[in-house]
Amino acid sequence: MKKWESIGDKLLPAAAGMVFLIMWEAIGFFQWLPAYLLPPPSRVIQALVNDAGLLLRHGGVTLMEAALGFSIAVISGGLLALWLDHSPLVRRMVYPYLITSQTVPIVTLAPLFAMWFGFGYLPKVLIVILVCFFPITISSMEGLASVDKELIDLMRSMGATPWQRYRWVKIPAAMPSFFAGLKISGTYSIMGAVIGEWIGGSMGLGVYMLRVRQSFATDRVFSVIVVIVLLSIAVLKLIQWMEKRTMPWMSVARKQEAEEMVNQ
Amino acid sequence: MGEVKLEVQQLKKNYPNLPTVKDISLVLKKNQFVSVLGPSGCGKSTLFSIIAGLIKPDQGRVLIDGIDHTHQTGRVSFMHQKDLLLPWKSILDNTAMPLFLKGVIAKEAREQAQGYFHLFGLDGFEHYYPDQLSGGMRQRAALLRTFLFSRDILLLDEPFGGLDAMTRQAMQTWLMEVLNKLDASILLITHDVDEAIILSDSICVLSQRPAVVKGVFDVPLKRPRHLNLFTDAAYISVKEEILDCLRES
Repeated sequence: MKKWESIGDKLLPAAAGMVFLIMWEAIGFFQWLPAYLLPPPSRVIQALVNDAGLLLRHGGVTLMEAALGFSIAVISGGLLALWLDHSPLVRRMVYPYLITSQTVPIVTLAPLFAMWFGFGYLPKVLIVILVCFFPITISSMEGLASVDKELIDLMRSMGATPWQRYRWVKIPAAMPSFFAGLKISGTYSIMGAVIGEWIGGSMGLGVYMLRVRQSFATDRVFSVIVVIVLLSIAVLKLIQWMEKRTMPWMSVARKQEAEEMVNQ
Repeated sequence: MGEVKLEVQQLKKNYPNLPTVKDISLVLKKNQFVSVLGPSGCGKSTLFSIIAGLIKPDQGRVLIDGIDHTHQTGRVSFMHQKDLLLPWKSILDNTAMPLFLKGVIAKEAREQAQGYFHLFGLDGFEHYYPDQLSGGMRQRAALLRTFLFSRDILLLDEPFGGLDAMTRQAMQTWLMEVLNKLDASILLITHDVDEAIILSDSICVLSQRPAVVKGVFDVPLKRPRHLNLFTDAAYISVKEEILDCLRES
């Protein structure tokens, strides 16, 4: 029974996706809409195959910018969260600005960054950092604050130093929230790099997308979108894999819960 | 017996608008088992937090081996109703944690903790995560961790309160047996009169908040004790005295 259900869980979305693609293909096939407005999936796949080399090179640059910005955001966001958690005074001073800074639309910052830093990789990486930094910092802070107070009291009664409290209790306890933040910002990171590339530059999926759009090669625009989606999913999967590796106790607990559910 | 391990002198603690502990003095001798019995919310847990050094009392002192330990953590640790095991550490690392915190080398700390696994009925579960164990086993692991922190004095704050009735009784029986081998002085918080009598040499009854000591009762029951002692005449008379004391207000 259970096996059938899990197959169904994968089969049903796949079937729905197929229906959607067939309908989309039909629009092109019966020429209800011209291909330069809405290229059918077959044309998009063709574009993907034909431009594979180009897409790979531009995609590599975008991925590199995203990975660099993401890594910097993870490290600085994680450290800032630790600092703010440790020092209530600093937290009260900084936190409102941290929240407010998120209301600044990043898209409007991109041209400014190009003005200040030119058309190299730097402004793109900076945008990725800005996009990723906030979700990581906030979710890490929430994770650090979510620790059972009695657990902290127990550690204190055992004479644990502040560093030991973080190492043994607070940091591991914050891991689930930390990874929730990573998943959000990980998917944003590719998008952030593409936005940065739109402003200008010589390489990257954003640059490539602008070029093919200006030549009205809509099928190639779609192929870029497909690559962006695939890259974002790959980043997400990588983070999920790391999450499982980092928190083996979580998968044990989940398995346990699942078994109990079945036994009931 | 006879040597005083822990002495609490005239403790007083008021929270803003909430007098919690008015006047508590008690003595725990070497290898003695003393229970602190009182109604829910009477400030028993505050008392333990003060003894463990987590909270500073407004008045009074906590002496351990004759030395003032008021508002000093790191000498005695306590065990809660919640096991408070770290979900991300194996049972072995959880129980060895106090040794890690004291700076013992990891390998040595694990070996020391391992040495007690049989006595605590945890054999074979060294590398399990807490979530994989039953409530009773988790409490035994928590007790081992408390013991490894301060082997001579154990503070137990309703350690079996979260367990179902049958597991609780099994744990009480087990605790009676294991205590003979541990050579420790124990202070237990409970609101269960039977539990207090079965386990203790002496019972300290507290009043409603603000807590004062209403009476101290010696339990004249010989050891080793068994659960059939519920019908013992001495048991029944001590229980009546204590219940009377709890009723007076």
